[in-house]
Amino acid sequence: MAGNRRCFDTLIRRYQRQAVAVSYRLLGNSQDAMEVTQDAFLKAFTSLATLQKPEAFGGWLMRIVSNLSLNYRRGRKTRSQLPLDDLLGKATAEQADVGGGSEWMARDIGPLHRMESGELGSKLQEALNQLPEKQRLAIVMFTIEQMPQKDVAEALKCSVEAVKWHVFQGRKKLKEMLKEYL
Amino acid sequence: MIGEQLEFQISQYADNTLSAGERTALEAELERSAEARALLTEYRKLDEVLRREILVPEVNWDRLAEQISGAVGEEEIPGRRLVIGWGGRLALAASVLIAVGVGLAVYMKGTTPGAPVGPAGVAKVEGPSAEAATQPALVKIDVGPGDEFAEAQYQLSEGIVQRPSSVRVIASNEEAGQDTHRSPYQQ
Repeated sequence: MAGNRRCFDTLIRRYQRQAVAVSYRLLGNSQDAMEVTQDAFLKAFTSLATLQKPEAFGGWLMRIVSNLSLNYRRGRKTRSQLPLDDLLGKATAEQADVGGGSEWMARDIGPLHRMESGELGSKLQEALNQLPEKQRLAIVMFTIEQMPQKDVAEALKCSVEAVKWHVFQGRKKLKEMLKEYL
Repeated sequence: MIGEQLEFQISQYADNTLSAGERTALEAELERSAEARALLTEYRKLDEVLRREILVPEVNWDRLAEQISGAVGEEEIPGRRLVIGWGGRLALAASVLIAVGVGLAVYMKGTTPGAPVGPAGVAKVEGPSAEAATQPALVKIDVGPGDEFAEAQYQLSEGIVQRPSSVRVIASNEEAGQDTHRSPYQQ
């Protein structure tokens, strides 16, 4: 698989949505999430030789995505090498309101708008951000993104049993934080 | 009051990750305990809200894939690494062996007796110029066969014929210390 661009393009199409989703739920910003996703695929491509089990690619990629996302949150560094800004279309007023529209974003931005402007969505994101890292990642990948437990275990570098425990602990805390909304 | 172990089991039940035996046992507990059933309902509702409210932004996935693919291509060009499989390694080893063999054959051919050998190179050496003579030479030494041996041949060993060298003093102010006209092989 290493070095095979066509094969890697297939992987990009298969996993890009999951990567953006995980990153987005950790960062809360669509532009940052897409930038991190691109970085994650680049890193994965250059490190393919280190991947021991090809079938573990999904979990391995999500580990890269989550690590980059968390680092991004910590650093909020500015990157100039990615031409993402060049691809930005003319944002409509509505798109600008919901976080700087992009040609990548479909015209129907209803769900994004709902999520970013909705009180419950904001509260959920806020509550998620307060969870310890492993619990947050377990909830995002397993509960929300519904990734297989073994892939989550690969991403978190822990056992499947540990994933169950992290999900349980995170769920308990979220239930407590969001009790007035449930 | 629900203990943490039971709560953990309810969480796994909501995720459908319990074993068949554990599942049966928990379902019996759920039938008995309204509190357990309420907790299961809360967990399921929480999951539903998380999935419904935190949605992924709508993205032009085709375009994003092209963008990422292009970035990967740019990454590939300057840092292209040569990945050689086992077949490639064997081919590389065979190429090295062939190159060494050809080099060795050329070298052996160049050192075979009788083979024409071209000049390896020309070195121009410049040194001090010859000094002009200030007086007649006192001694002249010729190296080569003496007159009486000029036509003779001496068998030194089978297959090797050599004429002995001789040293002749042409002119000297001193008495000669060596009989230069006698063969070194004569008693």
